[in-house]
Amino acid sequence: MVEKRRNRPFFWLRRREDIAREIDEELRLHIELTVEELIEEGMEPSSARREAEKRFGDYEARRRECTEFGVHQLRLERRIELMSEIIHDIRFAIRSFHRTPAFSLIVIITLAMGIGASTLVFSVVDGVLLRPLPYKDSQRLVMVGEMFTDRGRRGPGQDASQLGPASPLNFFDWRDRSTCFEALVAQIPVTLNLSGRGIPEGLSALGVSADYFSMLRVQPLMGRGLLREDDQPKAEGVVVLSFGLWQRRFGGDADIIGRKLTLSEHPYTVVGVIPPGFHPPMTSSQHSIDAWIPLSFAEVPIDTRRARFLDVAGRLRSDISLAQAREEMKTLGAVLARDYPMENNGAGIRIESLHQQTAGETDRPLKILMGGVMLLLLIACANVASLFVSRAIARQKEMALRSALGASRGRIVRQLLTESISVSILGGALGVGFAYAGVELLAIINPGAIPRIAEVAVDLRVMSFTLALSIATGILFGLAPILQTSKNYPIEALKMGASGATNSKDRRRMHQSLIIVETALAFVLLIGAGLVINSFVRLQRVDLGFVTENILTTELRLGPRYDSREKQTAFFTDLTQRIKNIAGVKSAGMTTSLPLSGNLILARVSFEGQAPDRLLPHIPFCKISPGYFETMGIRLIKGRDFTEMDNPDHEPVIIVNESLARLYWPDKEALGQRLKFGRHDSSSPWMTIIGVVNDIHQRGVGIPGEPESYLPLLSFEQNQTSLAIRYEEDTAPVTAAIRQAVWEIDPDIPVTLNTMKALVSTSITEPRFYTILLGSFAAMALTLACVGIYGMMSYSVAQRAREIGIRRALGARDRRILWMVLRQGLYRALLGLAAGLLISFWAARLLAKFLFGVSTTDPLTFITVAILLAAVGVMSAYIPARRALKVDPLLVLRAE
Amino acid sequence: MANENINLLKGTLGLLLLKSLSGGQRHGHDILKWIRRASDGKFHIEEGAIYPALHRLEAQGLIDAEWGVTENNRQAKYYRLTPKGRARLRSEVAQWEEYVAIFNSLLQAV
Repeated sequence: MVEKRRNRPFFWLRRREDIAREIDEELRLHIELTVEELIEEGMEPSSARREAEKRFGDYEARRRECTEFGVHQLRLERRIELMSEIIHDIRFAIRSFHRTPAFSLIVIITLAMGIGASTLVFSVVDGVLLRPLPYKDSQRLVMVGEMFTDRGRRGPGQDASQLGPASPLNFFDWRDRSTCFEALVAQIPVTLNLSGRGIPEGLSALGVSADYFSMLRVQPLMGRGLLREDDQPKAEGVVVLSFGLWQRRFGGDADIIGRKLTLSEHPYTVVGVIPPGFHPPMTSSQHSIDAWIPLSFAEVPIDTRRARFLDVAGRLRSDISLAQAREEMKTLGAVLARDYPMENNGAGIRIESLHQQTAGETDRPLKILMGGVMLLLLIACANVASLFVSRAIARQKEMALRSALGASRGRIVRQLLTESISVSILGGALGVGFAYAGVELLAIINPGAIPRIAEVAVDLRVMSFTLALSIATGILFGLAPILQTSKNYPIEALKMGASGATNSKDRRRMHQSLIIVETALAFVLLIGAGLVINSFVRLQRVDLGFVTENILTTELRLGPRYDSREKQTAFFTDLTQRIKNIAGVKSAGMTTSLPLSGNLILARVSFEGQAPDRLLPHIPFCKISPGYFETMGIRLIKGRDFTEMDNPDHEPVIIVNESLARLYWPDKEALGQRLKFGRHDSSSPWMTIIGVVNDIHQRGVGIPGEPESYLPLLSFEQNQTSLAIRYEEDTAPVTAAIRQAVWEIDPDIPVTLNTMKALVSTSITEPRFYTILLGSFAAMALTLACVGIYGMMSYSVAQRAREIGIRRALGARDRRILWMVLRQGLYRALLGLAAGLLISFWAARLLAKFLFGVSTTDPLTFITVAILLAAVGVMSAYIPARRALKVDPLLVLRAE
Repeated sequence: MANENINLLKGTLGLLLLKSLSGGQRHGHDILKWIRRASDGKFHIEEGAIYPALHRLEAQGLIDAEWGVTENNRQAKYYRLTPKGRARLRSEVAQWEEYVAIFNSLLQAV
């Protein structure tokens, strides 16, 4: 006869001890029964026990086996139970959000804004700063450079921590005399004229030394890379094409390998094509590279130690650390300085990881951007937290009921968190969509100046960040209502009505603090954006010193057939004349360095009348043709412009700008002074200053007047210049005519026309990028803050409806009540502003380096933002108060 | 082959336990007694081995367990077949018989 001893509810509540005990009971019984049997058969009790145990087998082992199994089953069942609870919670969350669609929508959109913006910024930060470079084993790649420790030997804009270019002979010594590198390569950007069939095209190419492709572990798509044999000066010219060029210019011709091309009038054979998606290191992301040729074909002097122009990168041997390499190169640098004091004295060799060098200076501003977007996210969280708190209060009865029915506090907390995390993940999913759109928009803004911008994408890495962020956000604002629930659940909750008088003080305090926090955060973000926008506006409006409207420019690269100054001059003069004759052209001129192009050359000069052994300063110069100043609208302040007479048959002349004149002849007249390249006793001639022009922003839009000098183009051998043309009417007829003018003289010269305006715009893409992003975030933050603060204040006022009703019923004047509510709102706003002000003063200092013409405590910005947010605070109190006053007090009192 | 204890073939314990419960519910010791009786004492089973096997069958839902009281008023864990277990028993028996038939004909083939 079997009786039921106990049921098995709450199996999952059993513990390991219970299981062990049960098993022990079961197994013990078995042995007891066997013992009894044996005793009945006549065995001695002690031998019966021994026999029973023997028959059973290894008792301990069996017991352990059963216990382990039981515990394992227990764990499985617990996990299943947990899973089903979570699924239940999620379903419940979805259902409850279905019931209040407006609430859910607002919450999801708010979170989408915050999380989406954060994802967007993170994807930029990830692509530019965090992700390893897109080369195999990229952490072994380094950049090697040289910099003079002595300030006087450095050029403008160079500081001691940079990696400057190397000279060819130095590079060869580095490569051949060091042991820490698996490979060391040098590269120089070079422009090649592709002529022959079709329109002549200027190719952006790199002249690279041997082992370039093998060092980067690049497998060519077709053919091969460049070999050591190709880099000998007598070898045949070979070229490797990029995928883009191969498709664009040669239609993806499968027989491209072995084809002969004419580049800058030399024959080259195509030996390879590089797969798509390869980004050459140490190049700007604004221009893609079309081709690679051996360094010895790049038409640069290979046998100089003094001229420094090669960018050098290397791969460290796998057993060498960066520190060891630095040590070795330091020693090598000292040896080279000793052996070649004139060129290398005072120059130090520096090595940095290629990853770090590529990111360059962008990590500071990107981190600031990340900080800004976090503020936006916090504001969004604050809004959602307050919404959740209000909702939790409305559900107090429901929660109390659950608690009374046996749900532990932990279970309730878990359910609330599931709700908040679910909605947060939904918001995050929508946010990923926003971020995706944002990345597409980035392509339109095209901040090519930011390194690796092409690698920015919303990919799996970024999406896992979004997921983690969503969960963290969900927990953050999900805790708010939980913190609100008092410990005297459920009795208290069941007792009071929906308004919950006892909780209102806590609730009010939470709303108050949220309003203050939101105001402060919004203040900081708006100040940051305001300063950056202010700075950018000034940048756009700044007087650059030259005209930007209605100017077309093109590069002109003459082929090797123009091998003398006479032939070059003849071409330039002829071309200028033809262009001037085009209808609609006002003037034309040439320069070796267009403003904002960074093509200035530095040279040491000596000044007549100054001590001969003084340290020679560097001054930048470029060569210009007569008519250039007129074309660019650069004013001649004193003296005269160059003319055709200023050629080698006459006295050498030079024009300087105001800054240079003021710097070297502060209290004298600069006109008529003489200077020469090199030392006093060098063979170059003394040049007389015949004119002074105004300063221009040469190196960058944000970099005002630096010293600069100009030489007459036609006095020198020069086969590459930029042509600038000022026109009057609409461009289309003029551009065709310009091209025609060039090709009438020489049909092999590529002509790519840009407007000066576009060049200026391109040079400020980086500040524009940050301004647009920060500005958008601030706008979103302001919207959220307005909505949030207004919502919270409305709620607050509604909570006090009863109190207001009583006061009015007792005779209080409307104006007093209005003032009472307004005073509260103003108080909170002021607290928030004060907190925001303090934080802003500190935070704005981080922006100091990036602001142009705006101080970090710009009063206009601060006052504007303060007034704006104060207005928001006041209006948020005023409007609900007015509305509350319109209601009949009796109605309010009765509605309880 | 007289009176030598034959070891159970690997993998057949489960089937045996299911079959032992086909007549009603039993506790572990009773199951062992049934096996001894039905095999005329010829099958040698290490007694303790049936318990892990029983718990496994229980986890698979083939048998149910319940604590009850024996005739001598002792607490014992009784096992019985579930419908799923009954079905499994049927199919396993059928498989076993087919296996034995094929193996037999192989053993008799030339």
